[in-house]
Amino acid sequence: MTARLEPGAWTLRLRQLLAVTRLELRKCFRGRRLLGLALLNLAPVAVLLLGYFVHHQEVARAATPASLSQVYAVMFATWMLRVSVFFTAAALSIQLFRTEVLEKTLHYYLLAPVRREVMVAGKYLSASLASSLICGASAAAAYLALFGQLGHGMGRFFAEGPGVPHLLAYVGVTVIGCFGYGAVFALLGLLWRNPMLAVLALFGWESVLFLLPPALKAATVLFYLESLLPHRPPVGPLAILADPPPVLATIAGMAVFTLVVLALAGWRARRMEISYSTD
Amino acid sequence: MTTDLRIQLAEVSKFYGEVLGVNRISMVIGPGITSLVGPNGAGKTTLLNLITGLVRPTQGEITIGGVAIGDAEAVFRLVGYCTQYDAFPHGLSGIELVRGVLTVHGMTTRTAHELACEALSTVGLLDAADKKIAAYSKGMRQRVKLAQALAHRPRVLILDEPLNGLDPMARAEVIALLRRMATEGKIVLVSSHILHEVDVISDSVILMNHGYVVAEGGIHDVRGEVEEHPFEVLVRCDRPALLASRVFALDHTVEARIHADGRGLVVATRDPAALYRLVNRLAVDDGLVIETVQPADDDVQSLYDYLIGHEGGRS
Repeated sequence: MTARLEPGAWTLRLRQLLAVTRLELRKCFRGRRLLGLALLNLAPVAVLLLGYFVHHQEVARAATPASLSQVYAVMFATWMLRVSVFFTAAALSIQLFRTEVLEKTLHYYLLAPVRREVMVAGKYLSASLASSLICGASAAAAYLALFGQLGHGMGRFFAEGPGVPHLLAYVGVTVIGCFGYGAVFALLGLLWRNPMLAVLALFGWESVLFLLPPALKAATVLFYLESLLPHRPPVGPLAILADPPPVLATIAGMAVFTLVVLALAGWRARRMEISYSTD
Repeated sequence: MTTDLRIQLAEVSKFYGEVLGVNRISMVIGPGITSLVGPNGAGKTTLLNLITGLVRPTQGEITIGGVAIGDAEAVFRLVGYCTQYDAFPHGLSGIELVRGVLTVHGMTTRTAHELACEALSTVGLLDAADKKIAAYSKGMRQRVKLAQALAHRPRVLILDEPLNGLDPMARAEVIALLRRMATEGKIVLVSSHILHEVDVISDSVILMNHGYVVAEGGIHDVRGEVEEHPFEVLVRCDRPALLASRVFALDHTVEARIHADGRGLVVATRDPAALYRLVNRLAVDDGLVIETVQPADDDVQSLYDYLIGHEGGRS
């Protein structure tokens, strides 16, 4: 016999979702892992600042909004999306359940009157919010550090030029990337006891995006994320080109993809058992 | 739906691959304190984890208060489980743990705080509520787990070795708490290896070995079914030697020995009723002064020894 949902069941579930998210957010910002993620995400900012101070005069002469936009597009696509966002989402999302199994604390959640799908959603939200915050801040900081090289022209670039919309677009793509990859990694963490091989395989798959035929490009997250960038980064001579999907279709597609992956994660969580001694 | 409060297991089995966890367990556990006893590897924790949905049965069905165990939203409003795992999320204080779990139940922070304080007070930990759990002693950690299990006022309380690590005073307090819950009509299911304490608190017992339920029911009823072992009765009286000389005249007497303190006789008999009649007759006819007549092996310890014996370390 299954208990019928009370009228306020969805309100209750929303409260539970927020409670799980709040508890999990605390965990995201603790431990040595955070230091590693900070280094990973601050690397482009550090490189930009270092380059600026070392080659200050040459940079100031050569810097134009157009050239810097191109530099940022390359840096964002090659490092931030492919490395920072990917591995930050991986580090925070893949361990959502695994860490608690190893620490033998997952039962505190499993013994609460909460649907496991709600628990998965709360944990996923916390990891995605945390990675969005870390990567988004890094993307914004790198953007400001780079366009700071315009000197007095920076104010005009932001006030009259495309500075602010482009910054928002990059941060937005970062957030979408964190949520998209986060769902995938949450599922991988539930499917495998040691999902590192799967993570590396996915990293390899995403890395060869430029070589994939158009039909296979559609099976990567990166293809959709890059289509949302204000500036498409240059591709190499070996790249196989494909038309980017429309922006709205991309965003809607990413949302649907994320929900499907989360539904699979919820299904997996429902079947999960606690047997700490064997894990 | 929950008025008929009982835990019901129907043909429940759990296999870990080829390894048997528990096999074909069918039973009904009603209000009161039920103790789960058996050696290491008997399947006690597996059974508790099955009842609380932490592991899924390979076959069979489990319901609590008529609700299938898979319906977590309904079941865990009824059930509180104090597990054997001595592990806690990092960096939390006692109040943060209990309150945090209650917010996951969907309670507002204020309600969760009030209930957390109530539970911590019940287990005598309110003064240390703001201390980090990492700084707690073993006994305090045990108590905070108990508080977490009690905090939402469950009607079914399941405890895996709840007396572990507790000092005598704390044990007495926990036992009193369990008794209070039982008198309120709640189900209290306890796994414990401290048999004399189990004996004191239990209304009924489940004996497990090798994944099977060896016996279950009221302690006296289970003892009555163990026919291969004669009943031991201790008769405290002023002339145990006289009694000894008479009991051997009874057909069902197997053994009689003077108690170590010289003030009673321990009689092993297959017909306790005949012994009781004899004692009454001696009191009337011979003026035997009877202090007490009580079963000497009508307890969990004896049942354990008779039914499980020394196959493994007790747990």
